[in-house]
Amino acid sequence: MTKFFLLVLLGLAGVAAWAWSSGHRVKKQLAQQKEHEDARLKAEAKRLAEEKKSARLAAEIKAQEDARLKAEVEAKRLAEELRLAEANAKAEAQAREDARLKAEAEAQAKSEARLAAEAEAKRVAEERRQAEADEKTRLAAEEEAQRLKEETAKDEETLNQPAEEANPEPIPPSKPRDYRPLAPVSPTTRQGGGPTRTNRQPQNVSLELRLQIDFGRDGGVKTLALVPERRDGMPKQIEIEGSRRNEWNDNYYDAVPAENLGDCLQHNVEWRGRSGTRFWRWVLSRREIHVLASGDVSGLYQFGSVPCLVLDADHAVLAAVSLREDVEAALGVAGCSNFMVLDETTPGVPSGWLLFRDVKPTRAVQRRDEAHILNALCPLRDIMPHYVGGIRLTRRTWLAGFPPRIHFTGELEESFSVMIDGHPAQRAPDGAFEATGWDDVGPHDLWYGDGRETFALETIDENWERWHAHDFGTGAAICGGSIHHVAGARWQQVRVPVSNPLLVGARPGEVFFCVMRGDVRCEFVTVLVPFTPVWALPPDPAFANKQTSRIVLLNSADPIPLVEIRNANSGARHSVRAWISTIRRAGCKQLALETETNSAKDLWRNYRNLAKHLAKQNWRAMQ
Amino acid sequence: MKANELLLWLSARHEGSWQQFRAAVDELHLDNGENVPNQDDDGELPLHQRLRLNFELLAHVEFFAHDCEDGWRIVPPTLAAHPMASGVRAVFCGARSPALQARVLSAASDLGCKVEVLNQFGVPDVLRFTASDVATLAKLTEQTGLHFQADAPLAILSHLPPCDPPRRQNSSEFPTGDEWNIHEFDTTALAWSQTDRRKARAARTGMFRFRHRFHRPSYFLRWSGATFKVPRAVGLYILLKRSRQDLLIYDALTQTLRVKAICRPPKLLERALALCSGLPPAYDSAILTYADVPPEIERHAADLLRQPLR
Repeated sequence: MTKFFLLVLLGLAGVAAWAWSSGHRVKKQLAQQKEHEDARLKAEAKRLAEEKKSARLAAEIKAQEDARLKAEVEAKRLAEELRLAEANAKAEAQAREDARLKAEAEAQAKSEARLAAEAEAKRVAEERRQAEADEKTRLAAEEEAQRLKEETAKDEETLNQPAEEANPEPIPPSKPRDYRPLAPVSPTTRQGGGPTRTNRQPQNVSLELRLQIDFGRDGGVKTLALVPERRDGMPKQIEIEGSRRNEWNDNYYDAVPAENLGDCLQHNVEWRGRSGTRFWRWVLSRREIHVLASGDVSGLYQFGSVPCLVLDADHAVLAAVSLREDVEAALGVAGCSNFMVLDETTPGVPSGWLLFRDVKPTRAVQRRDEAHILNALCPLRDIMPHYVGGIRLTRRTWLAGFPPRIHFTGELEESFSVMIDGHPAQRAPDGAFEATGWDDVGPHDLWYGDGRETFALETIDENWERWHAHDFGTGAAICGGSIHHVAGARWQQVRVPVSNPLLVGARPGEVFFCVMRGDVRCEFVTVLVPFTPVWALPPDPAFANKQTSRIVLLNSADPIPLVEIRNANSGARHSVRAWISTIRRAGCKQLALETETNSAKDLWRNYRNLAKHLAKQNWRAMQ
Repeated sequence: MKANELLLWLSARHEGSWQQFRAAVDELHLDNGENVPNQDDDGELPLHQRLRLNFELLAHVEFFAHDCEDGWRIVPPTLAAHPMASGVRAVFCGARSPALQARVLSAASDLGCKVEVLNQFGVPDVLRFTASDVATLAKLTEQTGLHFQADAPLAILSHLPPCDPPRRQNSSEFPTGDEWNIHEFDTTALAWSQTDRRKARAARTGMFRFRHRFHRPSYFLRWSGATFKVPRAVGLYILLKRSRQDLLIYDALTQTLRVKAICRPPKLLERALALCSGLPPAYDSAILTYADVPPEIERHAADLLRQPLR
């Protein structure tokens, strides 16, 4: 029994021990579980905190990036608005200009119709005159032939008689040939292989073709060209013989260098031109002598064709080889000495022609009759003003301070007098005429002999405008030695290091990111910025290398405290946030200043303080 | 000095055609017989071309640019400044009138600027103003109504494209017609040689010049079998880069840049180089020498030309 109880007690003790040990183990497990759970919770809390921190940082970076992008978008928008405004203004101006041009075109068309009618009347009269002249010439030739025949017979009769002293003639004897002045001629049939055209359109206008010679320094002919005449009301651009020519000045279209001019001049040269539905005709009639005068006289530089020699002016004469002796004699009669004769061995002189240079007639010569070919070498006694030098702006207008010297061609008698603006003019040592106030700004009246002309002196209009002369799509246009923003706004130019493209101004919100070109390696560039930048920072100050990156001071300007941001638009608020963030990030990074002067340090500190203050005071308000 | 009078004429007329410019050159330069021989473009140029280049180079006039495609237009008066060791120097570019010039000289004297007037044949008087700081020059322009451009050489270079091969979508065609005189540029001899249209079309790479008596010369680059109309200098430098020809020689001691005349840089880049001194390049033995070019400007220019520095 005792054993039984002992066994029971022992069993109970065992159970109790088992129960105790089990309880202890469970308790221990629970404690461990709790410990694990605490650790897990702590880790989770830590992870969440880190995630929260990361998210906050990411949000801040994103907000800054958004602000920068929005600032750029805002800048672009402003630029676009300006561009559109300018484009609208330009379109309006263009519309006004179009309307004006249309009105002018209508007036011009009317004027041209009138001119065409006048020209046609002139042409008809000219044809009649030419026909009469031809008839007259024919009769003169017949008479001359008859006279020569009679004289020959007479000479034969007097061969054995002593020779009489030659009677001085105004011009040497020569073969009578037709000389056609440079005025438009009547339509003629072409000689030679050129295309033959008749004037089928009676409304066409005949105009002059003038010769122009440009001498080279080597003494040869550099350019020999034909210059089509231009009259009032004719267009600035015209198509002549299939090629487009531009207005040269009020009186001429562009010169056309001529090939084989020697052959061309053997025939009538006739060009046709058109502009729209209007047609013109230019003619250079066939002749064996062409007289060209210096630019001061002819208006074409260096020499341009004129009807005949002008006293005391420089000339060049292009003559057929067969006329050499006649021309030399005629020039001698006109008082020309020391002239040179160039033949076709000289570069540029056309084959079959001679070029007489340095021809300066000093004596008037009486003409034989209207149609004599050598009349072109007979200077007239007519007195004409001859303006030499100065800066000529238009035909009779010169720049004030650079007036022409006023000479006269023709034979000036002792009694010849000149008046300028009512004041008697005196001869200067160089032979030019001057009077009181003759070179003042404004129009002047010139009275000479029985003639009258006007000339004017003008000052320079200083209203020069800048334009987009060269635009390569960089946002700036080049004009002369300067650049300017293509949108026309007054953007600031600043020279910045390419390593510091983030620019900050004095006013909160003034932040600008320069897009640097990647195709050129350079240290500095000049960029256009919509405000005056004070600081140039690395592109992302928070991630800049502290060892190498610097803050560059561009202009010493104190920061301008922000007064009110509540009513600003979202773009402005973003700009202010970007301005604050940029400065604070650069400050937090503790980037060094490029120039560590006390004033620069103080200035940077002021900017940081303002950014900090704004961040604290206005951040919520700006949200 | 006839170039001064020509600049006054251009300033008074504001704009005009190429023929008008040539006529003005003839009219104003005839008296002195100031003419030079007509040589090829690797030598000295005819007077009117030489004057055009000088006036364009010194930023007085724009030729054949936007809004003056067939002629020229005067540039508004500008002080183009650039930094120097002794301060800031500015060159007077653009239009002039006698009255304006007198005003500028008087104001410069009042502000204590150092004024230099340089005379050179074929160039209007070069007016240079040196001050201790940019603000003085800016004030001078404010008083006289001029435009002001700080760091002018750098400003121009900063907005120029480099001499890179053109993009294929911008290709063009040779001009049609038989009257064109065609030359190809020889990158070895650095000279133009006569060729014909068939060879030009067959070339995979090369630079071709088309001349016509009634047109300005046109330049075409053949690149990868396509044809591109390009400015002469741009095409040459693209080609020379490909053939590894080094053309620029820079002397840092004298700050001079030398280049063969036939390989004249693009005109705006050349303008930036010329504005460093205010003078056109000196020409001697087919070499052009640009004076007073700072290393920074030289590096930038060389990079735009895709040329290494020597």
